[in-house]
Amino acid sequence: MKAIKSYLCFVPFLYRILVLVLMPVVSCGVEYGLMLDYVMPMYLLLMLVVIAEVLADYWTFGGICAREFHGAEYLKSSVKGRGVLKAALFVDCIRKAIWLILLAGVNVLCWQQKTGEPVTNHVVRVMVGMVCSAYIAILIGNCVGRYVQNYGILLFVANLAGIVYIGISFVFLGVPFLVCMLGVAVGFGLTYFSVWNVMRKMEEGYYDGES
Amino acid sequence: MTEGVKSYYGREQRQMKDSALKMRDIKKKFRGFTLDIPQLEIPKGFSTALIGENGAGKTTLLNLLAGIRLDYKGEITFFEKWKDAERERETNPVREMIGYTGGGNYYLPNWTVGQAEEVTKLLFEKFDSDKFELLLEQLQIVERGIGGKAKKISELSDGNKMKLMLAGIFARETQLLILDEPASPLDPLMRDVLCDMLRGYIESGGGEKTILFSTHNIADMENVTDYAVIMEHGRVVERGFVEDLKEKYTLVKGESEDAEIAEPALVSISKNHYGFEGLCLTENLNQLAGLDMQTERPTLSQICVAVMRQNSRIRLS
Amino acid sequence: MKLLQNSGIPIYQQIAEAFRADIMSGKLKTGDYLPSIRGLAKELKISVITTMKAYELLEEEGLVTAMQGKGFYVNAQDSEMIREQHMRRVEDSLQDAIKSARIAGIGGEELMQMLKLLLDMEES
Repeated sequence: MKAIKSYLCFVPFLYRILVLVLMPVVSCGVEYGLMLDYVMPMYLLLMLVVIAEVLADYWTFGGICAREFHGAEYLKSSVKGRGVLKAALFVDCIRKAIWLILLAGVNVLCWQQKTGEPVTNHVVRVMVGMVCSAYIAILIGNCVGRYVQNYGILLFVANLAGIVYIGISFVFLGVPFLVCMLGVAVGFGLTYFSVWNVMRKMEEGYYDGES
Repeated sequence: MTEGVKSYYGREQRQMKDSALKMRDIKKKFRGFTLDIPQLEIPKGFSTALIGENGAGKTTLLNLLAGIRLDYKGEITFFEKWKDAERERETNPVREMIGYTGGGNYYLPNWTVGQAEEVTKLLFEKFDSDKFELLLEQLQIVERGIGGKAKKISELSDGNKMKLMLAGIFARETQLLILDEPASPLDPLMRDVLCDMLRGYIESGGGEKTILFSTHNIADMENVTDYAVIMEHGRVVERGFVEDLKEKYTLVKGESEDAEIAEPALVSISKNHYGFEGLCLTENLNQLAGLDMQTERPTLSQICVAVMRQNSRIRLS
Repeated sequence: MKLLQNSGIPIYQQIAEAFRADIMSGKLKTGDYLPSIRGLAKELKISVITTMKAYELLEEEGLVTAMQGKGFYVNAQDSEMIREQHMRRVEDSLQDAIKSARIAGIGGEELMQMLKLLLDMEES
């Protein structure tokens, strides 16, 4: 509960409406409307989601790793500052994961409703592969994007993340289950890395190495 | 009229009873200069001004004390009870007891006023939301309601940003305020309000609450300064209770032909065609005996300027 | 209490003078507490150390006594001392008059006459 509160501190009002409510609803609607098969619409949608998520990070943790914002003096002046930031970052990752999984679930459900075909092992593997690829691409985009304070450059980073997503998806799409699990493992690893990297930057703010 | 001066003349400086902050052997290299403070105490229950040129090391020192810089040598004792090493423990109350306002990198770049309030609730236990909102309104920081709170902090003027920081700490229950240049972004009216707020804070503490603020324009803050610490190039060059400093130094004004003779006995001197004006250690006044001159009790600004001029590297001509 | 920032008289002396007058006139009675140091500083918009110094001055003169944690209270004033204080104020005022007379080039004789005249006017 406290972790979610911490997260919400970093989320402005408009972001809550756009990213947390509107984007999932529209995505699911689009999925339902365009459902021809279970791969292509979802695949393209996820690419847009990757770009949107990297861009949206600008309003939450944008520029937090940049030299100028070593400051974050307010967080640093409280003994709880580290904890609040860490919790917020973790919740942000979990939110992204949950919403990607949800999207995949809705996708499969819609497809099954329309075509009546059974959800095979293969379908699940493709979904896991896509979700992992998207998640990894988003986090890589976030890690880079948090060094950027300029929205134009961030737009470039976001598009790059989209391309990264396509690249990674070639590795994970339709591969055996064990390789899928590798994707999940990389996802977990990247979650920790993305949080650790921001925390490391904050810690650097306390020390500048010139004592 | 002069009886007070007589009875105080030669009296020793007032002793500091309790200290809110005690520094020992503080050393820190920073951007080409070294902060070097062998010993310094900030008196409890009073308002202390940290005065110095830009780049004298005031901000760096305040950062160490507020705990947002931890890379220094030496030891700080808080409220005569806790050492700086203990401060980092989650259960230690030191950070909770200190309200700090800083410069440009205080909030995260994309925070709104509302987010600043939300995060304060999480960061500090004793935060009074109602008081915060009252201050937002009283100090005219943003308009009432959601519209005002959705305003991005980076879009506020420097003055309003400072007011927002002040609202954040005055809405908390603290024992020590560490304020970095609180007056500089404020307009004259708001400076006056700030002084009132500071005096109110000191009064509400009844001798327990302390303020430490930095300034490079002491004239605006003279009436809230009890103890003065003057810094140059990372060193403390003068310190003391203001009323004691005003006795320690005497302002002398004399004829221009006496300037040469007077100069060695003065802390600092400024000369023109019509005469000279300088600051003299009161105990050295007898060295000027026989000269045709007038003496005056200096203001804190005059003391600061003279002491800073004595130590500054800035030279005209 | 009227405080003049630029009168040349230190603020703490102006404050002490105001309380001295209140004590001597009986407005502040024996055992009365002076306002708290920090409260007075807030009211008068001056620093704490200035009010503190004013109170210390009064304490040195024996007019008030500091009580740990409770503030300053007014001492019992013996009439001898009060008279002395009044005398001192009269002397100060006369000294000012003499100074003004010197500047105006008024001699001692003339000054005495002036004083006598003023006294007569007051009595009649």
